Amino acid sequence: MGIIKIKMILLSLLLILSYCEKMEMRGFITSYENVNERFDQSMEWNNRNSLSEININQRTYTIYAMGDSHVGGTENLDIFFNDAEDEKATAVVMVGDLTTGHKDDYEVFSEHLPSSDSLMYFPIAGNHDLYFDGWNHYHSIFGSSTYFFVVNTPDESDLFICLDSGGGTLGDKQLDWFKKLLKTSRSSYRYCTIFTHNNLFRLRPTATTNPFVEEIQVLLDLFIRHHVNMVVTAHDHKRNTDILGKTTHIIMDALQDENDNASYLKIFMNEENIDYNFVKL
Amino acid sequence: MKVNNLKYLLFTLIILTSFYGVNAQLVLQTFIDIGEHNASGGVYMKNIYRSSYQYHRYIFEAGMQLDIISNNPNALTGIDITGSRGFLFKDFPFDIKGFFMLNRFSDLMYETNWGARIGTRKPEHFLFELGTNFKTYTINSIAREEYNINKVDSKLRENFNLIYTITAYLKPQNKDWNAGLSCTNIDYYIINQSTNPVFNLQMKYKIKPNLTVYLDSWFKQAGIFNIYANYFGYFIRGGLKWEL
Repeated sequence: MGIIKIKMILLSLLLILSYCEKMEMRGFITSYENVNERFDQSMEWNNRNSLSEININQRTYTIYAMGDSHVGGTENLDIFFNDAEDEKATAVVMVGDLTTGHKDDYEVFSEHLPSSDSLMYFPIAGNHDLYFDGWNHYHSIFGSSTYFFVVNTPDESDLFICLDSGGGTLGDKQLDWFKKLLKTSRSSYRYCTIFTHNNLFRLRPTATTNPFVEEIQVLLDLFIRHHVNMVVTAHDHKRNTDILGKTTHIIMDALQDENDNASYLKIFMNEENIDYNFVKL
Repeated sequence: MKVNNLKYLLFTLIILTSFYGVNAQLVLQTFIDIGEHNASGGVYMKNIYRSSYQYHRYIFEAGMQLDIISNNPNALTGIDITGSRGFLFKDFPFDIKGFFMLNRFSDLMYETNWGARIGTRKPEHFLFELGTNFKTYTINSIAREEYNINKVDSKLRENFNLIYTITAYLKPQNKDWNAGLSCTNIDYYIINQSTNPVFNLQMKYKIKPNLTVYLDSWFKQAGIFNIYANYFGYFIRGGLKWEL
């Protein structure tokens, strides 16, 4: 065998091994736990902990959102948290793929989290957070990946719903919970914003995966029926926005340090409308 | 069966019988899908009617889907039209298809897909198809009015998508009975992203020279091979194919 062939094989092996550090092949074929089990654990945690309700004195406020930080690296993560604290964000939402799923990365992520007294933060699990049995680490640090929180201004209340799509599907239990929540509670709130990791549309040529079309169809129907104002996702690593009906769909850039176009999202909850802009790092 | 379903069925039969007597190959097909998935809210049952008309190397095919049990308030939930032409390049047969499909998945919205694919059944134990589709989600006029939605915001067009089917058969495809295993991201009224493959196990048996029964078992696993595998759903398809 020629020396060039041997070099090519060794290089391929090196690439595969470095890929395996971030992506777990086992997770591609089977999961450590299924989405219904994660949902049950999230609900148990929610029942033990009170609903997050944020009361503010202003009529307008800002929510910060980011996704795909993929810690390891924490440079951009620190900038995100510092900006949110400095600019007195009402809350930050972290829309999945926060880590690579490794325990070490979860520990690093935890060390960089701000105190919940200084900044309210709301995480969601993404697919990478579940690799290497990552759900156990996620659950022990954050508790839940399916929940809602409320922001009360002097005049209005807004609803924010966080959904776990890290397994490429919401699962039947979570979808039922989501339907019931919208049906029973949506009308009590001014704005309704959904956060979930997996983007719903293929808006550019990409190999990232949306949920199955049958699930997207049910979600789109619900978004119209219940006046969902905004759906914020990540997963695709490259920003994209579109509007369907009254719903603005946003896919965020990856926050991870290696991304040349890393950015986070600022969502402005105004009296008349919801506005947003991306902040490039 | 819902009254509307019966009306659509009669309408289709009238259309199909109008073709009868034309000197060309006419094929009628009907099948029932029974299954469930994470978003179906329980078991669903769909009934599909299809007809194809072959004239020389051209085949025109049309079908429709009726929901018998589902969480969709529509009775007629899918329509599709396909046109294809067969070619022979040296000894290699292939066909090129253009298609349109409409999926009325809600009383507020529908989905359309345009696309084209190229396919071959050679070698004789295999079917290969490759193509692309363009998907659009549209909010219908009733929903636009009810929810005060601007027309300009009523459509969302996705980027082009790769579609494929790879099927391996146990026996050559012209045999009286056969079994096969297929991997695809396309069905008559559903097109998923290329990274969402669906697997199905197929069996067919020719009970008469012009009558074939078949049974498929479809399995859907979300995130398989690319995200984080989770069960999504399955369905069984049983049907009849009648060559007139």
